[in-house]
Amino acid sequence: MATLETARVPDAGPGPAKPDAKVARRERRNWRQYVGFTPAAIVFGVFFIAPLCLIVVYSFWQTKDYNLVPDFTTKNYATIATTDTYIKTLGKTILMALLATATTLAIAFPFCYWLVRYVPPRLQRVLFLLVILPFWTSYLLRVYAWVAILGDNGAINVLLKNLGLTDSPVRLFLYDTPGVFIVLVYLYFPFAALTLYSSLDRFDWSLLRAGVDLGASPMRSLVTILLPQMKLAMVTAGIFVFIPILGEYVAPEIVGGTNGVLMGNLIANFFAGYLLPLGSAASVLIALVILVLLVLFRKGLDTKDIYGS
Amino acid sequence: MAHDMEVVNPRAGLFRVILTAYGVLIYLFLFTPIAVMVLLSFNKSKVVGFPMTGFTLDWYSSLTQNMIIQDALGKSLAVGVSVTVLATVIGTAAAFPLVRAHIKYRSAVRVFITLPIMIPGLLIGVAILVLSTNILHLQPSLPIAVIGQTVLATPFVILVVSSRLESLDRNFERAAADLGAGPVQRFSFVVLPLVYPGIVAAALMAFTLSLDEFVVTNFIIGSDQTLPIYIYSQLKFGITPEVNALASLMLLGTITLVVVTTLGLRLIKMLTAKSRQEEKTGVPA
Amino acid sequence: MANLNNVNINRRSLLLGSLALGVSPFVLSGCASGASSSGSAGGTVNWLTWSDHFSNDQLKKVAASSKITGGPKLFSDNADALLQIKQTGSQFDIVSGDALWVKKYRQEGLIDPFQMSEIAVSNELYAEARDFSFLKDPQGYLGYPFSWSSVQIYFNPKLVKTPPTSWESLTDPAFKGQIVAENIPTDLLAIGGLATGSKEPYALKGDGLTRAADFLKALKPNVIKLASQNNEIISMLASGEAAIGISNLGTDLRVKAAGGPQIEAAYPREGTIGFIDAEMITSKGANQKLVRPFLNAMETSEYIVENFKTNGRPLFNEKAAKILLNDPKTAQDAKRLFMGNPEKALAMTLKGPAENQQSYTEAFNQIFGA
Repeated sequence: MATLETARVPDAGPGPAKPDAKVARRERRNWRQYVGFTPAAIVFGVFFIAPLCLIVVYSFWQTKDYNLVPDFTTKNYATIATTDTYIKTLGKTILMALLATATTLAIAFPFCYWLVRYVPPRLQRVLFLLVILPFWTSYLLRVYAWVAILGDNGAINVLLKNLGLTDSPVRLFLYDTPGVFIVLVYLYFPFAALTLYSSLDRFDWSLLRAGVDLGASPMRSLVTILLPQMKLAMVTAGIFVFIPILGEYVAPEIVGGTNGVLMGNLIANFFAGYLLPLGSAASVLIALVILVLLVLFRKGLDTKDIYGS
Repeated sequence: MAHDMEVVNPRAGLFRVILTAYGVLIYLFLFTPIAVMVLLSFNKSKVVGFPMTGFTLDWYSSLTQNMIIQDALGKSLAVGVSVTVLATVIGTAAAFPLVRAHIKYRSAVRVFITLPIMIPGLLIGVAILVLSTNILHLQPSLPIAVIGQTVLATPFVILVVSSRLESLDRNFERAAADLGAGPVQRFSFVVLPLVYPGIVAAALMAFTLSLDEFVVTNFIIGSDQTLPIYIYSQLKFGITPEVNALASLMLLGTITLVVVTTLGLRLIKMLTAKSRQEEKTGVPA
Repeated sequence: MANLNNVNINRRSLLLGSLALGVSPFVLSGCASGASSSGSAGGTVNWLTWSDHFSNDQLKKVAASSKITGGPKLFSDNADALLQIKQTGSQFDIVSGDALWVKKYRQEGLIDPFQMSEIAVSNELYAEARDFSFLKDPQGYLGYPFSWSSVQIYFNPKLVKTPPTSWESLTDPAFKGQIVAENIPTDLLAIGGLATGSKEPYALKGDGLTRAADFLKALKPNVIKLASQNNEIISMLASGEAAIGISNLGTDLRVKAAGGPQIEAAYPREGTIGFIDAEMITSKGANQKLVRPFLNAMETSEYIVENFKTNGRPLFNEKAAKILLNDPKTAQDAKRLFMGNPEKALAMTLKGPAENQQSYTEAFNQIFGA
């Protein structure tokens, strides 16, 4: 969104210059530069880190009759680890998140490429704003809209019938895993597009031209010059799509039917039944998956590639 | 632009046509659900969905009669404004040291800051609820909901503002320093004018996030309700097209807000450019 | 220098101003609620309830006549409501709950008993309704009975060749992918309990629970969706996406109203589960004095008649029932929806909290996981 205003400032080595080690250490000791972190540290510390620690603690407790009982037990983790359904659901959730993320990136990249290269700048801003527009309506209603689109009486079936292509309604992915897949791609497309767009927008296109001038085919110069530079942005976008999907439970419930259940649904059921410890244990497992990912792809979290420059 | 490629490659023209068609398809994909949502707000049937049993404006007129929705809208706006202000101030304050302080493990700090976006909302909601009721002995309430949403929105503000800051050419500030500007002057006259579009964008994002937040808020808001909570909790009988009407109106409202903000920013830019020009011509260097 | 000072003040005032802006909504709302609760005659009653327990029009009229404004907040299921009441202390004055949940609230010390005589309009209730044992306590009444419904099978005769006659018959492979039900884990297992002959479907243990779970396992391939909203059941039956629905009384009328086909009800021979809604008075509520006059204004037959017309399921107000049954326009629906037969409410297995919630939720998740 930040890209929408003001002319682009040429990128001239952001951040502090690189001094030698001694100076660096001395500079780090100057505490005044960290003052800006204070409010964020307080809010995050009290209302994010502390509660999360509590969740970890609860995952080792038990509930009896809608009350938490602080008896230490590893039973909750054992239950999840030894129950086929939970393991299978966790596996399916990760697989779904991977597939949806890959698809979202694959769809978003050519789109952003088109936006940056083939659309005049003034129109580009408007079109880019339109990508974020879905964020400004109710999430729940957007998901229900998909039921109305894919359903037996839905928009697509009415169209097919009027075109004389079908007599009876066709079940289009709805109430099954593919339906969840489509809706997840739809929901998270803007996240991916935002990141990829801002990165493509900064790319120096004369490099491509240079590649072509040096005798590479346009396709080849795209693959060898552009793609490597986009790697970071791809990772960032991927993380932003992948991780929220791991916790999704509303979309699977509405469009997934009994076949489209993901881990988030099971956790929601645990919490609804006030099984805080079991729900916490399942959540901690998901958090662990996320943590491993973040450590693996920590470079992808370079802020330069997130939401505009 | 990409025209230079067309000179080299005759097939590039075709490529352009294909890509444009593809772009149109993507917009179709993004906007069909929204169009359907708006369309269904005019449906006579009480059930949200096709078939259209008739055209009506009743759902819009019943909105004006619905005290609960109006109350929820008021609460949503109050929470939204509070969250926007808090998250923007806290996030902008944190963005500066994140970009400019000499931090050894900058990427670790970044990971930490983005965590609230990454962790499932379900988990954050339950966690904050448990902490405030069991440890802090605070009842769930509107202020707690504001704090919870601030935790969610602040990372976005930090990310947007810091990326703006990073792309800032520090030579402007060095030049200002050479000309004798102190830190405060440098901040007010050099950094802020260059960064504020980022801050405005971040604030808009925070407001947007707050307006549709359900998962976390539901756990911690207590006896009050915001619009998303009103919408989600009609489980026993289900939502009516009244909710679609509401969402359509809100969409219209947000679009208006963005257009006004964008135009406002442009106006400010024009005015400052003009005044600078006047300064330049009025006070010769 | 003067310039610099200016800037400083501007920045500080900007910051303070924005902070004030952020906090002001709460100060304002704090003042507003303070003002409203200090008045002795009128005020606001905070009410945790379902959307079918009131209408906007009704709240407006009651506010005008009694000076008491109802502030409803909606909840999704009984467990959710119980936890909210537990956590919010004095914030709610009235809470709605299903049948046996009332006892649970009492056990947890969350509600206070009251006398029916304190709510004059209770003389409009059926005598049976004033005699429900689960709403009573040695010290008085725990809940004011409102509406009820059993949960039974609805089917589309055009899509179903052999009509289901029992819960058990729903596992017939012929119904593959044709059933839609509400996503309430505890109630689904209770139905499993009924189907497999358990006497106490909300207190399943050991073998009984295993049998109920096995029933649901056999049922799962036939279930196309567990709906999070009752409306989804209506629209799926209306569009033909589902041929069978497990749902509340009045589903047939609502499907018809949504432009769907004529569907028929089947009352399973193993019996049904069902709810009896009641309003409870919380023990810590901040506006307790207003609760009785508020209920007295809300529960009059005039509003109950309207409520029936909108929501289409039986209520316990006898006076309203007589009006509906005598009006030729509504008589047929009122009769079909048992407005005149409150005794039927006791024929079903009443919804309640599971005695062992943990094993219910776990069993459910294991069946309906991936």
